[in-house]
Amino acid sequence: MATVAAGPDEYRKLDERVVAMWTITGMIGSGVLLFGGLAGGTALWLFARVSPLIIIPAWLILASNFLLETRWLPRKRYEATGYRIGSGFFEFRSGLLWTTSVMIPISRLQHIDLLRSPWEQHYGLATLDLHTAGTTKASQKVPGLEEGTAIRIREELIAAADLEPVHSPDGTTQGMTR
Amino acid sequence: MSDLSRTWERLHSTTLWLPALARLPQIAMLAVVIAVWAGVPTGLKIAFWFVFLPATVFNVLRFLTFEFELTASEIFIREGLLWRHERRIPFSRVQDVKIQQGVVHRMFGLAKVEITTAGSEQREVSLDVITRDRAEELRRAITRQDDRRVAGVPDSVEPVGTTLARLTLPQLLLGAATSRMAATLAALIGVILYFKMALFLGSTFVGEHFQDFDKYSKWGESFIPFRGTALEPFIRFFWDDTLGKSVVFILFGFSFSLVRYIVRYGRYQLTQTGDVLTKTHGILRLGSSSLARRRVQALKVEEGLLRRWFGLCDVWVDSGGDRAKVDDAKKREPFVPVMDAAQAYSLVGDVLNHLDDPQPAWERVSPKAVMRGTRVLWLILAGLMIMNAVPFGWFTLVFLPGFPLAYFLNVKWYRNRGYWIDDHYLISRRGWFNRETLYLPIHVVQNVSLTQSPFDRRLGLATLAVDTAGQTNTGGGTAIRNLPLEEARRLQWLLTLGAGTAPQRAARLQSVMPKSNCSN
Repeated sequence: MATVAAGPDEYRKLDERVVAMWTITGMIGSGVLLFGGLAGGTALWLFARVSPLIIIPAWLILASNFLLETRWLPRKRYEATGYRIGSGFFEFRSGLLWTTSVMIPISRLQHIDLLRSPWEQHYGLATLDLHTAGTTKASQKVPGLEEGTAIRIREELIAAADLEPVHSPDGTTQGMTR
Repeated sequence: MSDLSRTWERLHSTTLWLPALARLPQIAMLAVVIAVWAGVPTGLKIAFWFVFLPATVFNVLRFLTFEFELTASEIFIREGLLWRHERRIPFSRVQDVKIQQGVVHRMFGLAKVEITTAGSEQREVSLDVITRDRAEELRRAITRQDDRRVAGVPDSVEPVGTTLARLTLPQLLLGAATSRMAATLAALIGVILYFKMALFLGSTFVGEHFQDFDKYSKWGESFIPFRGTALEPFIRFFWDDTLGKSVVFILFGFSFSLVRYIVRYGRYQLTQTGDVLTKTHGILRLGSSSLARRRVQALKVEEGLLRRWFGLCDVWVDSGGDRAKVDDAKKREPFVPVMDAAQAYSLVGDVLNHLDDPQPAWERVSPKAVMRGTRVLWLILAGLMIMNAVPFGWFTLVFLPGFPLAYFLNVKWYRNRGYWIDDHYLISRRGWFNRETLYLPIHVVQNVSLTQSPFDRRLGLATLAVDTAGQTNTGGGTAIRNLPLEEARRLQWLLTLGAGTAPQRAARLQSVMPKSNCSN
């Protein structure tokens, strides 16, 4: 349940189904790499006479990457990722080796996108994309939220930001910029 | 949307030819380049048919289809040949106004106006050409808007401008000579030109003029010291033909950039009228741009190596309209091209509202930064030594002095790194050779991120990065590395909550804002 009233010091977790989704997407991504590596390595060995002493360690690296991506990393990522909505700010933390925490003042939000990839649709998940007027990090994605939660968070943030509809010079309607 | 009662106004009739004339140097350059390869008539023909004619047709069409109307609080634009486009830009949305006058513009009392808003990546509107009076009127209307909103200046009062800064000729000359452009570009252009020219010119019709460069380098030789002594072969070893020519080119490039700098920034003047800052500069082309103080997103004082030597610096400012990143190859435009450092810091105090001290008692990052940076350099040096030991043997010992030097540099960098946060600003300073001091108004911060690498975690440190809306001229928000984790979290917290503090939200946040323990 996403409410602003939640304790400011506890991070809320993503929906647990995201672990299954990341396992599948990781399996596809690293699987393609692994089989591409197997095929390419065999070709190199047979036709270009590259020593197996080079090819086999490369295969081992790809295979362990496959194992990591499918067995271990999705769960670890899920545990490392969290978000919280405090009074006046939204915080998103993520990362295993390089851990990051991004704090966005809610009053700085320009607009919020709700994205749903095919996999997310299958698992009933959604990604929120929070946009500010920043330059190097103008948007922050929050993946793996339960659909309903994502919509509720969006409503909450919009209400908290009181994004007054403002007509910009080009005629479109956008949030308030200061 | 279209309102028939409006009194639409066209651009000045010189729009038909003046903008094309302003492009003349580029057109001429193109013609010359083509002429070198294909002869003068072809060059002229190509420049006429492919550049001058399309530009003129474009300008004629624009004159016929572009209309605008000024009111007291907004500007309406109607343009387009097939797709008609109508825009309304309230002056309250305008970030800055630029008025430019080329030589011909000035002869006829004309000007080109550019308006930037926060919504667009580039300039929002360009009125090219209108009369100078109309341009001033537009600027006054926009800046008065800012005055009314901020300072509460009533319409009837004409605000008086005060001059904040001006450049004298000696300052300009010193500035030109110490500008990074002058130093690096001249050298680079000199070397590159030399090799390019040596390769190409010998085989083209310019070949015979190439003799002149030989002549100049012969002339340069007369300055060689110790001529006719035993030292001469030694000197000649360095002053060979190639080097002589390069030096001639470098001197040429240097004086060119000197002249360019003076033509560009001559007659520089910075004035403040109410809340609005206006800078004017240029000897041939007069440029003038206005920016409200409250729209400043970031301000940076840069003291380059040469400038720091002479106690000089330059100042850069971004408004919300400067959306492009620096690496988008957009031209940076200085706010003050050159200035005494002491004078600049007092100017910063004038320009930025609520700034207590432009050079506060700096807080330092964690002292672990010193050994951390040193270790990285030592690793690189050790790698270099091993790599060179294999082919060159004992020669590799020349890297040894690098080890204490690496430590020394890191100590210097650590001592010159500082930051300061109060209720209104985050200030950060860094650099020992080149020093830059960045002022970020906290209320414009867009988001704040805190990152820890695996090494950071072991040392209990973190990197804080601040993102702002305008970054074209200043390079944007700062990243402070090697902060103790607790301190980094405190800064992140203060910056985030402060950013949300628009005037009307101040009261609400007062209750959740932790007591700042660094306010003076």
